[in-house]
Amino acid sequence: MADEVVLLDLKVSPFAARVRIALEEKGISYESKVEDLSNKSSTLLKMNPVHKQIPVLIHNGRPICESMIIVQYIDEVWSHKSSLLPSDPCRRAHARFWADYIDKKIYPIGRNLWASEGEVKESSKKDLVECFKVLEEELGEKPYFGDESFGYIDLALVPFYTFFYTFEILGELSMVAEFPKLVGWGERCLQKETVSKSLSGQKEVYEIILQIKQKLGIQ
Amino acid sequence: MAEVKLYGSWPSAFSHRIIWALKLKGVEYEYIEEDLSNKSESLLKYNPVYKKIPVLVHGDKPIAESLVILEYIEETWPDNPLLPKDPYERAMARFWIQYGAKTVATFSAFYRGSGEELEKAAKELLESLKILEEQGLGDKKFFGGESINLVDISYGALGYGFAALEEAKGVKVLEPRTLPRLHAWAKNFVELPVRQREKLATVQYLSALITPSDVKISEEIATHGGSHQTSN
Repeated sequence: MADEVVLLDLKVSPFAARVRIALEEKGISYESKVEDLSNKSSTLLKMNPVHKQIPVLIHNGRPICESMIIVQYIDEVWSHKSSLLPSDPCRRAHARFWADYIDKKIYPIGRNLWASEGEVKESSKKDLVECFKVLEEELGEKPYFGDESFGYIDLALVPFYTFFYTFEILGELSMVAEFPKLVGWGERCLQKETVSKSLSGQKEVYEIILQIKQKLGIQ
Repeated sequence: MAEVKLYGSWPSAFSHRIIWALKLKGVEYEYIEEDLSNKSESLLKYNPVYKKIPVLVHGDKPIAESLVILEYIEETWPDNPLLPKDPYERAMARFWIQYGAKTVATFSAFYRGSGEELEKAAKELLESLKILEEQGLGDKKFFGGESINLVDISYGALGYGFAALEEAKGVKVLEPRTLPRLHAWAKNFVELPVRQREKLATVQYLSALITPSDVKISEEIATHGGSHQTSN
């Protein structure tokens, strides 16, 4: 019986991007259904009634929600190739810890940076810089967060690499100067086809952020 | 077999989750009570990113963040499984655990709020818990079915401390009238033998919050168990 895999998707969403990368890594054929979040489909509302958010993976009619939960599901069901999580429990815990850190910090603080003004924006910028410092240190001299090969932590973070240009312009930062290892890592990840075909370009992301800001009435 | 140490804080629900999981797995561990106003060198070394408890140290490897620790315990000691084997059911269990993590802000608002803010927080909390009850728990006795699993453990604090908190705030949220199944779940959870000590510790702590007085923390409660004891 052929698997039916559908992804309720959104191009610029870093969370949806994580799932796209995971699906590409595993070589899974899927149908991408792009959502308009200002006019959510009845499928989305039915498949994710609790959060009404993308991404949602629908596997043979059953929905799985929350990006890193979907990624773990994909890793467990399609376990024959390209393991995303290591097999050792200690390394798995390490991977989950950092994916959780990225979820707790990078998206919400990053969003505050581009979606707010004045004091909130300034303190968000400081916080974001601190977070990237922590990540830069964690990466260290390794080619990937997962060490020798692209893995769970890399997948969790790399969609946010496409936001670097946005952070630079709106946050008046120089990512290359302040976080050279992270930038090097980002470029390295983009050399993987599974990653580059799943992500938008940095300038494209910036344009979309500007549009969102306009819609929300933020300077 | 490498040594297991848990750095915790006896009033912390996050700490209790780990104790319950270790006990359910029959893992012997050494408990170290942290004074959060004066954090130990060890804690700062083992959790430099957040400097928080709980931290599990297995051999010389530290693991931080309670939900990460719970998954680690599940994978390292696979007997008496606390997550479903089926990947879909497992994803659903993780979803409901994450749901709790997302409602922490609502809990905090309830915990800290007063007056109008408290009323608003109580309403939001009720809405969140309704979703948990209807879609997460459904008609099951526990989130894990007939026995508890990591989802039940992650919501454990609702089981005991919450009633005392409601009393302190003078606002009831988790009642048989409004949340019948979740209320029943809480009662069932509290009756389980694995949490008797922690229940005692938390009730004492919360009593101290309500009517501040010197609470003598007995050695037994402060050291939280230690080795596994057979219980029904």
